[in-house]
Amino acid sequence: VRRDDRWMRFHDGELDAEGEAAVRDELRRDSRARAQVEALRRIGDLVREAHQTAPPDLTEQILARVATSNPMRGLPSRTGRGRRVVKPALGLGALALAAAVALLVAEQRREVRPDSDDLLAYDLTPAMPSVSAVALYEAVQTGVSIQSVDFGPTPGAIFMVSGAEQETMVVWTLEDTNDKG
Amino acid sequence: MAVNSGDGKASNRVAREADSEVDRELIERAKSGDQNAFRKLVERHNRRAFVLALALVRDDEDAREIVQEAFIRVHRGLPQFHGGSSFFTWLYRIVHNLSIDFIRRPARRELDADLLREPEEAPGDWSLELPEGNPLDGIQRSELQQRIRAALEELPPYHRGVIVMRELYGMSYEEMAESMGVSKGTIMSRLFHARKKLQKSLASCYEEAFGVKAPEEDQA
Repeated sequence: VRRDDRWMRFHDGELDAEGEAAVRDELRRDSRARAQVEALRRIGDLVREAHQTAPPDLTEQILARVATSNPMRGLPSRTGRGRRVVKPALGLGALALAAAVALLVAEQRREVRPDSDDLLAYDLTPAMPSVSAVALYEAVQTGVSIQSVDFGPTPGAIFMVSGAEQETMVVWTLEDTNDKG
Repeated sequence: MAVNSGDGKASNRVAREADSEVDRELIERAKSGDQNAFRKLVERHNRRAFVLALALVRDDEDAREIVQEAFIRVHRGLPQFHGGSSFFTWLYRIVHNLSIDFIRRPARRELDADLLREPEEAPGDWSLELPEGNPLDGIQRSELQQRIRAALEELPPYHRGVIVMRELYGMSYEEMAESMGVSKGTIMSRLFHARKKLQKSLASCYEEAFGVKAPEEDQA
């Protein structure tokens, strides 16, 4: 085994105990051996210093690619097994939620009795797109027709009050359903 | 210890063995369907796989593509992985093979064909040729860094590969041989010549780089 080969293997921790002891002994006696081993160490240090910039974390991209490239094959999915149980539960939950919303809407319709004839036509059907009061006001100002208004769980109504020169929109909501205004 | 944040010291075999143990456990869990375990494997190894791919193909986007493809293959191959080799050795072999295939593509061939052609080294050519010339005084560390980066860029892919595996990941000759699909002797030869080239590229600032005067040529 040539000396340089031995020094490199020593530096890389690839020698057995006997070989390592022999090189250590050589290092004590031979300045050239010391210089060479030191040079190997410094090269390693410089290479590591040159790679100090943290590489990007590709975890999310990789998992996304794995999911799209291999949707049906590969590892059995524990979450997939869970999904079979979760799906019916979600369906039942959605059904219960729909029933609760329908009850709430019916309740709101009973409670809201605006007196003004200028009341805008509105429908609290939950499936329709909701419009916030501010957006509604802006829409009225710009002449956009309103299809529905959703006040959420709070009962409310929209009035257009006629003035001398212009109409003013009034948005009326109840913070507390016990307070009937 | 997260593999991605390893200290990169040359002799970190013990730490790597502990990492391999963690990997084995994660693989078993992943094989039984634990997606979170697979995510952990990706988290632990993707950055290192990226550095290796980048060292080989020298393009950030290409390296990202290669790493993603490598993990897709890992995911598909996990049920067949029986732990005969360590996970990272397996992963790095996939990354290495994909990178080499990528370099051999027609669009890249003109650029890198010569770099892939490994020159036949004379057997036993192990005399460490030391840089000659006078070391320049006062070379700044940043300059040294630039030089080493430039020198790394100049290396052919198979030399950059062993340098990264050895100096950054502390992989053994055996592990590198397994990852690159070559013999241990080839790994030693590549490593020797890669280091020699790096040393030569720093010849003009040898003392600054290595902290010692350039040793005389070994005639033994």
